[in-house]
Amino acid sequence: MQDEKVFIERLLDPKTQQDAFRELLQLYQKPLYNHIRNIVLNHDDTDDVLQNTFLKIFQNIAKFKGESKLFSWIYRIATNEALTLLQQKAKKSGISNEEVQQKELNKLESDVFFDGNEIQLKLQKAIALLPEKQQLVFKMKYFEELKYEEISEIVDTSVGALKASYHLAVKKIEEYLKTN
Amino acid sequence: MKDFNLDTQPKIKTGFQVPENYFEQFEAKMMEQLPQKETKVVSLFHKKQIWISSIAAVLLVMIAIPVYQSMSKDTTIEATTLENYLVSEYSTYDIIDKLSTEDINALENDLTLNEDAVESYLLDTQNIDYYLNQ
Repeated sequence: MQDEKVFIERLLDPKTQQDAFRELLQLYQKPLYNHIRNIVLNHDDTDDVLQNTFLKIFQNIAKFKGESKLFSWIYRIATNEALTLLQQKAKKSGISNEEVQQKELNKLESDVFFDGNEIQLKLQKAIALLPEKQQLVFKMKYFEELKYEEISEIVDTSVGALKASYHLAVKKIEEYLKTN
Repeated sequence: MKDFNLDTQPKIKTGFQVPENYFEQFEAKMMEQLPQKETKVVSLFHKKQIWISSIAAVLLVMIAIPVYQSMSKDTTIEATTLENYLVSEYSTYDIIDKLSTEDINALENDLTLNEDAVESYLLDTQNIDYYLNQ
């Protein structure tokens, strides 16, 4: 967004707020949906997290200092909200985050909103075995096709570290797909 | 098993699907939730209201304190009222129950009867013969 400052001012001005927020929704709802869905895996949870994300954006836009790009600020909120949901689920059932993910994976096969073939399901299973950060980097790079520079701003990690993380993730996944 | 290379393989998609018309409905749903914030923005009126409420509260306290003080002066109970209440509501035994040994001793000291009074009481009473014969 070239005139980010102007756009934020429109979001803050009660007269233009509605239109500006609609634009923001149209621009971000699909990529953010995919981003959140990749983390929480099922549609209903994604819907909840997406709603919370937009509400938080709207409530906190006045506090946005412009230190990072609006894009990465928004993605950071969505990522935090999605990871928080997983943690809450784990806490509620008294199990670990990894176990929550395994449970969600097992449900995928019967999910009406998942039409993945065997290789897609295998890929999801391979990803679930990675450490949280590697999972996040892999999903953002491979599925969402974000640039390293963009991911770097979102997860606050250097591009070099992200590249290393991604290659490690790819290696582990290829190894898993080869043997399973 | 053959080697597997993610970069040379055709891209594997996530396989996730979205319900029909989801994004149109989502946009409408989110837009509906917005006006709540707008009412918050109209803070001028709220500020005025807070001022009025604060002044009202201070006035109320200013009026209430003297009224409360004048009312609280009347709360000392007159001895006769208390006595009447005790006589009508409590039996002698109830009162004794509530008294400690110290209270009873103090009462006995207060009530030390003077002999003349006893004599005149007895003389006035018709049953004097009965008492003398006991």
